Amino acid sequence: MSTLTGGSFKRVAPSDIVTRKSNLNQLVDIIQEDVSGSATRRKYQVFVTGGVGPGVTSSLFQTVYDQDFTLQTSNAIFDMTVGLSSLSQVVTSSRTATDAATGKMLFPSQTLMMREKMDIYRQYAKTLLGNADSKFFAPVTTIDTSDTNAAGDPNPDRIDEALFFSFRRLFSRDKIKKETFAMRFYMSASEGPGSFELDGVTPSTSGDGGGGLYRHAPRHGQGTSIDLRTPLSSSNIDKTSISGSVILTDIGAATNTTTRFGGEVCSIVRSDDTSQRVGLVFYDHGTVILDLKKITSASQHMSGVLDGMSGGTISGLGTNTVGGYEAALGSLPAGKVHIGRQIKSDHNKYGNANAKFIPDFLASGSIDNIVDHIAGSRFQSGSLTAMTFQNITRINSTLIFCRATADEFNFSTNPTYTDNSGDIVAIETGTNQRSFTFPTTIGLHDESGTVLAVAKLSRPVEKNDEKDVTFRVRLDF
Amino acid sequence: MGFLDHSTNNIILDAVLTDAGRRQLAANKGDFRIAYFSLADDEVDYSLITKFGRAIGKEKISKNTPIFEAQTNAQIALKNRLLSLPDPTVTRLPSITASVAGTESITLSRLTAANQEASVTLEQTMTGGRTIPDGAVDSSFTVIMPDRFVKLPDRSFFAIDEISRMASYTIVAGGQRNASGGASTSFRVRITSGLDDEMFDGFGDQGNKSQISSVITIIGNQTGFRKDVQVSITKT
Repeated sequence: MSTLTGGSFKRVAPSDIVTRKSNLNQLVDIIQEDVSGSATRRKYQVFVTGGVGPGVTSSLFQTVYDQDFTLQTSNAIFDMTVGLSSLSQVVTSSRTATDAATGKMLFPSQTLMMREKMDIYRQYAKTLLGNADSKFFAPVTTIDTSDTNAAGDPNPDRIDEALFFSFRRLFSRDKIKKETFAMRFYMSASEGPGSFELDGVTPSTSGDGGGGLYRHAPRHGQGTSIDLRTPLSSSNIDKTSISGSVILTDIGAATNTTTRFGGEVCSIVRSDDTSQRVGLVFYDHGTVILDLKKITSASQHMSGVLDGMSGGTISGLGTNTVGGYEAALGSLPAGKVHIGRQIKSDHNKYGNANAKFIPDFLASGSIDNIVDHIAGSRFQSGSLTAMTFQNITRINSTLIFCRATADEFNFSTNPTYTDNSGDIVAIETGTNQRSFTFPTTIGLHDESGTVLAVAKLSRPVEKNDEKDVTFRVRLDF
Repeated sequence: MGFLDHSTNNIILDAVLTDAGRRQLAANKGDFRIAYFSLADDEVDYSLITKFGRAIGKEKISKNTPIFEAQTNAQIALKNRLLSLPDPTVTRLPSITASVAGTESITLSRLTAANQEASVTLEQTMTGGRTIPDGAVDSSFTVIMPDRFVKLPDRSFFAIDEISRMASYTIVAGGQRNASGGASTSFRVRITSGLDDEMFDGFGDQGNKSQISSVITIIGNQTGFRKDVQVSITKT
């Protein structure tokens, strides 16, 4: 376009262009069944073991979607994973050695992905605390402080066993808004057969029929009757929790937020007792870190089938009896192991009957096993809200004031504006009527006339020679 | 594009960047610089004034005209621009005529060299022997045409849409004026070389694949008056 000096363009004065900044908040509501459902939780099985049996495959994290993740319309909401600090009891109690030359820690085959769990923790520490060797502390005021308290005991504020939620940018946008985060979490696992057996009962190895088999339950007719003929696949690892929920929230963040390497951070507390600080939320990074020691019944007995380094099928489990009941039925295929129940086959004993959430479950389970349990059991599977927060989108706006004075834009090139002879239909012949127009559209052009932006009015506005009009067009970036 | 909600008394502005605007932002050369604004009334039907009179017609336009959402295609986002004229008492406006030997359509034939090209006469006219009012005369025009089929020989387009292949050329009218005082000029349209049978198979008219029909749009750069000219290209 050669020149725009004609009557259908008007130059925008520099003073008519101003920039502003504003915030937009959106409420994000994540329902329980999205977290717990296997169809809405995507795994990336990139970790593969070698060695005994078929090996174990696992994700390093899982992604929760808002619907079946195989559908193109699904949106990833957040990633979840677990991590262990090098000072965690889970690590220190299971580590067998450390290679002096490389610093590589060695763990027994009954554990799984220990180094990966530590690496996950280190990665978050590096990103959010600025040092991979740092540890997370809640409350936030003790971030990166001493590892022990005055008595020399492990600092109770230190998060050694961490559950990480990293919200996707689509939902966290520029940052999470303070004082808006809340989640409903079930502290205890379901009271399945395994957990019930050890609840206040001293384990006994007598009366097992001569095989030294662990007696899981009161004998028939003594105390509560428990059906031990439950197949091995039954456990509290994959059962939905039914009680013991708490609300975890960042209440008080407005006045207790600190800025650290990873941006603004505040403690997450229990809503029923705000003095109990159970985690951290990094608002700018969109990451929530929860202390598994505080948000779970850490000493609760855990029972079920895990991935593991097992070379062959463990079978014949139903041949022994305990107190008149069959001890267990079924068999475990290669690549699977059992936790929380001692089982006997051919007079050999397997498994740790006294397994607890911390350290046993976190040590023996792969990241997939642990995340499957937490997501599948600890959020329930209803349509209630599992997590909610508001995000903040920072909007940079350019306001362009398009000023049409009384003598401007009063004629139109619209084909209906004139009749076949070119007469303006809005003016009756022989009168002194003046023309008028009804603008509906505003075009913003560059120097060459190219339309850079278009704005539409929701209804036509009359423009005539007695009226000046200013349209304020806002372009958001 | 859907309609905008006009159920409230508040007037809402729905603004979007066009594809051209986004392209300039992405180019990161500092070209995204708003210099002018224009107004348009694409949805308005002024014949309502003729049908219902000035008062009721205005009300019908104002209240009964739903407005489409903003269009991101820069070439069709803004069709009928409003015009500022120095004389507020103007009662008649010019129009653009484009003709080939007196016919208001262009017919080209691929087969014979003589018919592969046509000369289009372009001018602004007023009926009834009147003179075009001040401010309504264009000194240049933008001609938009489908580059796949036709082009302006010996000229270079200043913009082309990469997907639709609609090319934009500038035609300068110069100081030449017709009897009405309007701009008058001419330009040649030629079939694009390489317009083969496959193109006719792909873009030919439904039911007649030996002919391609399209439209050439001419827009006055200063006034915004526009004219669509039908162009037909036959295979034989």
